Amino acid sequence: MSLAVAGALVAAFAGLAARALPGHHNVKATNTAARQTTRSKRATPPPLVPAGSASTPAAPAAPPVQSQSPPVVVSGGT
Amino acid sequence: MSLSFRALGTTAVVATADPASEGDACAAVERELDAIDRACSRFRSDSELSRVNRACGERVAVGPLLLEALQVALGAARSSGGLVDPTVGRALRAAGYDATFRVVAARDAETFRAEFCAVPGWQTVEVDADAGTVRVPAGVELDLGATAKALACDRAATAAAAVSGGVLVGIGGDIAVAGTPPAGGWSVRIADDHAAPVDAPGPAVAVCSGGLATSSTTVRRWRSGDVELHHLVDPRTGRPAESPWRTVSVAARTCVDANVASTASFLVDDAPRWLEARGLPARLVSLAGESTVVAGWPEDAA
Repeated sequence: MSLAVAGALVAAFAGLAARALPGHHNVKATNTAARQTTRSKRATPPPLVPAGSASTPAAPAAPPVQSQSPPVVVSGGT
Repeated sequence: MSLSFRALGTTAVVATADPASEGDACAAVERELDAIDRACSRFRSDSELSRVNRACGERVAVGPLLLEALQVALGAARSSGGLVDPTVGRALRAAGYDATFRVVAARDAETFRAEFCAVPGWQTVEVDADAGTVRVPAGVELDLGATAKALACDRAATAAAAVSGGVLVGIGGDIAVAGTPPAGGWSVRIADDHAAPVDAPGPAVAVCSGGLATSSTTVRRWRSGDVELHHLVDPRTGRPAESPWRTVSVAARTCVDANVASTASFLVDDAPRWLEARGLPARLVSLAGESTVVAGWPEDAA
Protein backbone atom coordinates (compact mmCIF):
# COMPACT_ATOMS: atom_id res chain seq x y z
CA MET A 1 0.00 0.00 0.00
CA SER A 2 2.70 2.42 1.04
CA LEU A 3 4.72 1.34 -1.97
CA ALA A 4 1.81 2.11 -4.27
CA VAL A 5 1.30 5.55 -2.67
CA ALA A 6 5.01 6.28 -2.93
CA GLY A 7 5.01 5.19 -6.57
CA ALA A 8 2.05 7.42 -7.35
CA LEU A 9 3.69 10.37 -5.60
CA VAL A 10 6.93 9.84 -7.53
CA ALA A 11 5.03 9.66 -10.80
CA ALA A 12 3.06 12.81 -9.98
CA PHE A 13 6.17 14.78 -9.02
CA ALA A 14 7.97 13.54 -12.11
CA GLY A 15 5.10 14.76 -14.27
CA LEU A 16 5.02 18.17 -12.58
CA ALA A 17 8.78 18.52 -12.85
CA ALA A 18 8.73 17.61 -16.53
CA ARG A 19 6.02 20.20 -17.24
CA ALA A 20 7.96 22.83 -15.33
CA LEU A 21 11.12 22.29 -17.36
CA PRO A 22 11.61 24.97 -20.01
CA GLY A 23 12.38 22.40 -22.67
CA HIS A 24 9.20 20.39 -22.21
CA HIS A 25 8.61 19.07 -25.68
CA ASN A 26 4.85 18.84 -25.79
CA VAL A 27 4.24 22.34 -24.49
CA LYS A 28 6.88 23.94 -26.66
CA ALA A 29 5.82 22.08 -29.77
CA THR A 30 2.21 23.16 -29.30
CA ASN A 31 3.10 26.79 -28.73
CA THR A 32 5.49 26.90 -31.69
CA ALA A 33 2.93 25.37 -33.95
CA ALA A 34 0.37 27.91 -32.81
CA ARG A 35 2.78 30.79 -33.37
CA GLN A 36 3.72 29.52 -36.81
CA THR A 37 0.10 29.19 -37.79
CA THR A 38 -0.58 32.75 -36.69
CA ARG A 39 2.49 34.08 -38.48
CA SER A 40 1.76 32.28 -41.71
CA LYS A 41 -1.80 33.57 -41.65
CA ARG A 42 -0.53 37.12 -41.30
CA ALA A 43 2.33 36.85 -43.78
CA THR A 44 0.46 35.19 -46.63
CA PRO A 45 -2.02 37.45 -48.34
CA PRO A 46 -5.02 35.82 -50.00
CA PRO A 47 -4.80 34.86 -53.67
CA LEU A 48 -4.62 38.17 -55.46
CA VAL A 49 -4.37 37.93 -59.18
CA PRO A 50 -6.39 35.55 -61.31
CA ALA A 51 -4.30 32.85 -62.97
CA GLY A 52 -2.93 33.98 -66.29
CA SER A 53 -3.00 37.70 -65.60
CA ALA A 54 0.60 37.65 -64.45
CA SER A 55 1.91 36.43 -67.77
CA THR A 56 4.91 38.16 -69.20
CA PRO A 57 4.19 41.17 -71.46
CA ALA A 58 3.03 39.73 -74.77
CA ALA A 59 4.34 40.60 -78.22
CA PRO A 60 2.08 42.43 -80.67
CA ALA A 61 0.43 40.66 -83.60
CA ALA A 62 2.91 42.46 -85.85
CA PRO A 63 5.84 44.77 -85.13
CA PRO A 64 5.65 48.45 -86.06
CA VAL A 65 6.90 49.38 -89.53
CA GLN A 66 8.34 52.55 -90.99
CA SER A 67 5.50 55.01 -91.35
CA GLN A 68 4.65 56.26 -94.83
CA SER A 69 2.16 58.90 -93.70
CA PRO A 70 2.21 61.98 -91.44
CA PRO A 71 1.98 61.09 -87.73
CA VAL A 72 -1.30 61.70 -85.92
CA VAL A 73 0.09 61.38 -82.40
CA VAL A 74 3.34 61.41 -80.42
CA SER A 75 4.50 58.59 -78.19
CA GLY A 76 6.91 60.00 -75.65
CA GLY A 77 7.58 60.22 -71.96
CA THR A 78 5.07 61.87 -69.68
CA MET B 1 -7.72 63.90 -88.20
CA SER B 2 -7.49 63.81 -84.43
CA LEU B 3 -8.86 65.61 -81.40
CA SER B 4 -6.96 66.31 -78.20
CA PHE B 5 -8.03 67.38 -74.73
CA ARG B 6 -6.72 67.40 -71.15
CA ALA B 7 -7.29 64.27 -69.11
CA LEU B 8 -5.56 62.41 -66.24
CA GLY B 9 -3.17 65.33 -65.76
CA THR B 10 -1.88 65.06 -69.32
CA THR B 11 -3.05 65.23 -72.93
CA ALA B 12 -5.43 62.72 -74.51
CA VAL B 13 -5.61 62.26 -78.29
CA VAL B 14 -8.37 60.47 -80.19
CA ALA B 15 -8.13 59.67 -83.90
CA THR B 16 -10.68 57.72 -85.91
CA ALA B 17 -10.45 55.97 -89.25
CA ASP B 18 -13.86 57.43 -90.08
CA PRO B 19 -13.82 61.20 -89.37
CA ALA B 20 -17.61 61.21 -89.08
CA SER B 21 -17.45 59.10 -85.94
CA GLU B 22 -14.91 61.25 -84.13
CA GLY B 23 -17.47 62.83 -81.79
CA ASP B 24 -18.87 59.50 -80.66
CA ALA B 25 -15.37 58.14 -80.14
CA CYS B 26 -14.34 61.16 -78.08
CA ALA B 27 -17.41 60.89 -75.89
CA ALA B 28 -16.68 57.22 -75.21
CA VAL B 29 -13.04 57.99 -74.40
CA GLU B 30 -13.94 60.85 -72.05
CA ARG B 31 -16.34 58.60 -70.14
CA GLU B 32 -13.63 55.97 -69.65
CA LEU B 33 -10.97 58.46 -68.60
CA ASP B 34 -13.30 60.17 -66.15
CA ALA B 35 -14.11 56.80 -64.57
CA ILE B 36 -10.42 55.86 -64.31
CA ASP B 37 -9.60 59.23 -62.77
CA ARG B 38 -12.30 58.89 -60.10
CA ALA B 39 -11.18 55.36 -59.29
CA CYS B 40 -7.39 55.47 -59.58
CA SER B 41 -6.05 59.00 -59.11
CA ARG B 42 -3.48 59.49 -56.35
CA PHE B 43 -4.05 63.26 -56.54
CA ARG B 44 -7.82 63.34 -55.98
CA SER B 45 -8.84 63.17 -52.35
CA ASP B 46 -12.24 61.79 -53.41
CA SER B 47 -10.85 58.93 -55.51
CA GLU B 48 -11.28 55.32 -54.46
CA LEU B 49 -7.52 54.88 -54.44
CA SER B 50 -7.11 57.76 -51.99
CA ARG B 51 -9.65 56.10 -49.70
CA VAL B 52 -7.61 52.89 -49.76
CA ASN B 53 -4.38 54.80 -49.05
CA ARG B 54 -6.03 56.60 -46.10
CA ALA B 55 -7.59 53.49 -44.57
CA CYS B 56 -4.77 52.85 -42.05
CA GLY B 57 -4.70 49.12 -42.68
CA GLU B 58 -8.46 48.63 -42.76
CA ARG B 59 -10.14 46.66 -45.52
CA VAL B 60 -11.97 48.93 -48.00
CA ALA B 61 -14.81 48.09 -50.39
CA VAL B 62 -14.02 49.31 -53.91
CA GLY B 63 -15.74 49.31 -57.27
CA PRO B 64 -14.99 46.99 -60.18
CA LEU B 65 -12.80 49.49 -62.03
CA LEU B 66 -10.30 50.01 -59.20
CA LEU B 67 -10.40 46.28 -58.60
CA GLU B 68 -9.44 45.69 -62.23
CA ALA B 69 -6.74 48.38 -62.10
CA LEU B 70 -5.27 46.81 -58.96
CA GLN B 71 -5.28 43.36 -60.48
CA VAL B 72 -3.55 44.72 -63.56
CA ALA B 73 -0.97 46.50 -61.37
CA LEU B 74 -0.31 43.38 -59.30
CA GLY B 75 -0.09 41.27 -62.46
CA ALA B 76 2.48 43.75 -63.79
CA ALA B 77 4.43 43.51 -60.56
CA ARG B 78 4.45 39.75 -60.67
CA SER B 79 5.33 39.50 -64.36
CA SER B 80 8.16 42.02 -63.99
CA GLY B 81 9.61 40.32 -60.94
CA GLY B 82 8.58 43.28 -58.79
CA LEU B 83 10.23 45.94 -60.94
CA VAL B 84 6.91 47.62 -61.74
CA ASP B 85 5.45 47.90 -58.26
CA PRO B 86 2.27 49.78 -57.24
CA THR B 87 3.49 50.26 -53.64
CA VAL B 88 5.92 53.03 -54.65
CA GLY B 89 3.38 55.70 -53.67
CA ARG B 90 5.05 56.71 -50.41
CA ALA B 91 8.53 56.70 -51.96
CA LEU B 92 7.29 58.95 -54.76
CA ARG B 93 5.61 61.31 -52.30
CA ALA B 94 8.68 61.49 -50.06
CA ALA B 95 10.90 62.17 -53.07
CA GLY B 96 8.69 65.15 -53.91
CA TYR B 97 6.10 63.85 -56.36
CA ASP B 98 3.26 64.53 -53.93
CA ALA B 99 0.94 66.57 -56.14
CA THR B 100 0.10 66.99 -59.80
CA PHE B 101 3.30 67.56 -61.69
CA ARG B 102 2.45 71.19 -62.44
CA VAL B 103 2.67 71.85 -58.67
CA VAL B 104 5.82 69.77 -58.26
CA ALA B 105 7.59 71.55 -61.11
CA ALA B 106 6.73 74.98 -59.68
CA ARG B 107 8.29 74.19 -56.27
CA ASP B 108 11.40 76.04 -55.07
CA ALA B 109 14.18 73.50 -55.57
CA GLU B 110 16.54 75.36 -53.25
CA THR B 111 14.33 74.95 -50.20
CA PHE B 112 12.71 71.59 -50.99
CA ARG B 113 14.47 68.53 -49.53
CA ALA B 114 13.62 65.11 -50.93
CA GLU B 115 13.54 62.07 -48.67
CA PHE B 116 13.85 58.44 -49.66
CA CYS B 117 12.15 55.44 -48.15
CA ALA B 118 11.95 51.71 -48.78
CA VAL B 119 9.19 50.32 -50.98
CA PRO B 120 7.14 47.75 -49.01
CA GLY B 121 6.46 45.54 -52.01
CA TRP B 122 3.41 44.51 -54.00
CA GLN B 123 2.95 41.32 -51.91
CA THR B 124 1.65 43.47 -49.06
CA VAL B 125 -1.48 44.35 -51.04
CA GLU B 126 -4.51 42.19 -50.30
CA VAL B 127 -7.24 42.09 -52.90
CA ASP B 128 -10.34 39.99 -52.39
CA ALA B 129 -11.96 40.00 -55.80
CA ASP B 130 -14.99 38.02 -54.66
CA ALA B 131 -15.74 40.40 -51.79
CA GLY B 132 -14.67 43.48 -53.79
CA THR B 133 -12.32 44.67 -51.07
CA VAL B 134 -8.75 45.90 -50.84
CA ARG B 135 -6.41 46.24 -47.88
CA VAL B 136 -2.96 47.72 -47.67
CA PRO B 137 -1.03 47.82 -44.39
CA ALA B 138 -0.92 51.15 -42.57
CA GLY B 139 1.80 53.32 -44.10
CA VAL B 140 1.70 51.64 -47.51
CA GLU B 141 0.59 53.96 -50.30
CA LEU B 142 -0.40 52.79 -53.75
CA ASP B 143 0.45 54.58 -56.97
CA LEU B 144 -1.06 53.08 -60.10
CA GLY B 145 0.53 55.59 -62.44
CA ALA B 146 2.60 53.07 -64.34
CA THR B 147 -0.29 50.85 -65.33
CA ALA B 148 -3.56 52.76 -64.79
CA LYS B 149 -2.90 55.20 -67.63
CA ALA B 150 -2.10 52.32 -69.97
CA LEU B 151 -5.20 50.46 -68.81
CA ALA B 152 -7.22 53.61 -69.47
CA CYS B 153 -5.84 53.63 -73.02
CA ASP B 154 -6.76 50.01 -73.65
CA ARG B 155 -10.24 50.40 -72.19
CA ALA B 156 -10.90 53.70 -73.95
CA ALA B 157 -9.80 52.33 -77.34
CA THR B 158 -12.06 49.31 -76.95
CA ALA B 159 -15.01 51.48 -75.90
CA ALA B 160 -14.45 53.97 -78.72
CA ALA B 161 -14.02 51.26 -81.35
CA ALA B 162 -17.41 49.88 -80.38
CA VAL B 163 -19.08 53.12 -81.48
CA SER B 164 -16.74 54.36 -84.19
CA GLY B 165 -14.83 51.53 -85.85
CA GLY B 166 -11.08 51.98 -86.17
CA VAL B 167 -9.66 54.22 -83.47
CA LEU B 168 -6.39 55.30 -81.87
CA VAL B 169 -6.32 56.60 -78.31
CA GLY B 170 -3.23 58.28 -76.92
CA ILE B 171 -2.87 59.40 -73.31
CA GLY B 172 0.33 61.14 -72.36
CA GLY B 173 2.40 59.14 -74.82
CA ASP B 174 0.76 55.75 -74.19
CA ILE B 175 -1.16 54.54 -77.23
CA ALA B 176 -3.77 51.85 -77.89
CA VAL B 177 -5.46 51.10 -81.18
CA ALA B 178 -8.60 49.06 -81.81
CA GLY B 179 -10.88 48.19 -84.71
CA THR B 180 -9.88 48.39 -88.35
CA PRO B 181 -6.93 50.77 -88.86
CA PRO B 182 -6.57 53.10 -91.84
CA ALA B 183 -4.54 51.86 -94.82
CA GLY B 184 -0.90 51.69 -93.80
CA GLY B 185 -1.72 51.71 -90.09
CA TRP B 186 -1.69 54.50 -87.51
CA SER B 187 1.35 56.74 -87.84
CA VAL B 188 3.05 57.56 -84.55
CA ARG B 189 5.93 59.98 -83.94
CA ILE B 190 8.47 58.70 -81.39
CA ALA B 191 10.00 61.33 -79.11
CA ASP B 192 11.48 61.82 -75.64
CA ASP B 193 8.51 63.98 -74.63
CA HIS B 194 4.89 63.21 -75.52
CA ALA B 195 4.25 66.96 -75.66
CA ALA B 196 6.50 67.31 -78.73
CA PRO B 197 4.67 68.38 -81.89
CA VAL B 198 3.73 65.59 -84.32
CA ASP B 199 6.06 67.12 -86.92
CA ALA B 200 9.03 67.17 -84.53
CA PRO B 201 12.25 65.51 -85.69
CA GLY B 202 12.52 61.80 -84.98
CA PRO B 203 11.35 58.45 -86.28
CA ALA B 204 7.74 57.67 -87.09
CA VAL B 205 6.32 54.16 -87.05
CA ALA B 206 3.00 52.68 -88.13
CA VAL B 207 1.02 50.33 -85.88
CA CYS B 208 -2.09 48.36 -86.77
CA SER B 209 -3.07 46.72 -83.49
CA GLY B 210 -2.29 46.52 -79.78
CA GLY B 211 -0.41 49.13 -77.81
CA LEU B 212 2.69 51.27 -77.86
CA ALA B 213 4.19 52.97 -74.83
CA THR B 214 7.18 55.20 -74.27
CA SER B 215 8.79 55.76 -70.89
CA SER B 216 11.37 58.46 -70.40
CA THR B 217 13.35 60.01 -67.59
CA THR B 218 13.76 63.25 -69.54
CA VAL B 219 10.33 64.56 -68.51
CA ARG B 220 8.71 64.86 -65.06
CA ARG B 221 12.02 65.81 -63.49
CA TRP B 222 12.43 68.06 -60.46
CA ARG B 223 15.22 69.12 -58.16
CA SER B 224 16.01 68.91 -54.48
CA GLY B 225 18.87 71.32 -54.00
CA ASP B 226 21.52 70.17 -56.44
CA VAL B 227 20.03 66.70 -56.89
CA GLU B 228 18.01 66.02 -60.03
CA LEU B 229 15.10 63.57 -59.54
CA HIS B 230 12.58 61.85 -61.81
CA HIS B 231 9.34 59.90 -61.42
CA LEU B 232 10.57 56.42 -62.26
CA VAL B 233 11.30 54.92 -58.85
CA ASP B 234 13.34 51.74 -58.47
CA PRO B 235 11.38 49.57 -55.95
CA ARG B 236 14.63 47.97 -54.81
CA THR B 237 16.09 51.26 -53.60
CA GLY B 238 13.13 53.63 -53.21
CA ARG B 239 15.09 56.16 -55.29
CA PRO B 240 14.77 57.35 -58.88
CA ALA B 241 16.11 54.63 -61.17
CA GLU B 242 19.64 54.82 -62.47
CA SER B 243 19.71 53.54 -66.04
CA PRO B 244 21.85 53.80 -69.17
CA TRP B 245 18.65 54.66 -71.06
CA ARG B 246 16.77 57.93 -71.22
CA THR B 247 13.80 56.84 -73.35
CA VAL B 248 12.37 53.42 -74.20
CA SER B 249 9.48 52.74 -76.59
CA VAL B 250 7.86 49.30 -76.76
CA ALA B 251 5.10 47.78 -78.91
CA ALA B 252 3.05 44.97 -77.38
CA ARG B 253 -0.25 43.15 -77.53
CA THR B 254 -1.82 45.77 -75.26
CA CYS B 255 -0.87 49.19 -74.02
CA VAL B 256 -0.58 47.78 -70.49
CA ASP B 257 1.94 45.19 -71.68
CA ALA B 258 3.86 47.86 -73.59
CA ASN B 259 3.93 50.16 -70.56
CA VAL B 260 5.07 47.43 -68.18
CA ALA B 261 7.90 46.52 -70.56
CA SER B 262 9.00 50.11 -71.23
CA THR B 263 9.05 50.83 -67.48
CA ALA B 264 10.87 47.62 -66.57
CA SER B 265 13.47 48.35 -69.26
CA PHE B 266 14.87 51.10 -67.02
CA LEU B 267 15.42 48.61 -64.22
CA VAL B 268 16.63 45.34 -65.76
CA ASP B 269 20.35 44.73 -66.23
CA ASP B 270 20.32 44.25 -70.00
CA ALA B 271 17.16 45.83 -71.41
CA PRO B 272 17.73 45.02 -75.12
CA ARG B 273 18.25 41.36 -74.27
CA TRP B 274 15.26 41.32 -71.87
CA LEU B 275 13.01 42.78 -74.57
CA GLU B 276 14.38 40.57 -77.34
CA ALA B 277 13.82 37.45 -75.23
CA ARG B 278 10.14 38.38 -74.95
CA GLY B 279 9.75 39.23 -78.63
CA LEU B 280 8.83 42.81 -77.79
CA PRO B 281 9.72 45.25 -80.58
CA ALA B 282 11.40 48.24 -78.94
CA ARG B 283 13.54 51.30 -79.50
CA LEU B 284 15.88 52.38 -76.72
CA VAL B 285 17.69 55.70 -76.57
CA SER B 286 20.82 55.90 -74.44
CA LEU B 287 21.70 58.83 -72.21
CA ALA B 288 24.08 59.91 -74.98
CA GLY B 289 21.24 59.89 -77.52
CA GLU B 290 22.18 56.76 -79.46
CA SER B 291 19.29 54.52 -80.44
CA THR B 292 19.08 50.71 -80.39
CA VAL B 293 16.22 48.73 -81.90
CA VAL B 294 15.24 45.13 -81.09
CA ALA B 295 12.74 42.42 -82.03
CA GLY B 296 11.67 43.84 -85.36
CA TRP B 297 11.31 47.54 -84.47
CA PRO B 298 12.33 49.39 -87.69
CA GLU B 299 15.68 51.13 -87.86
CA ASP B 300 15.56 54.91 -87.71
CA ALA B 301 15.38 56.37 -91.21
CA ALA B 302 18.65 57.94 -92.34
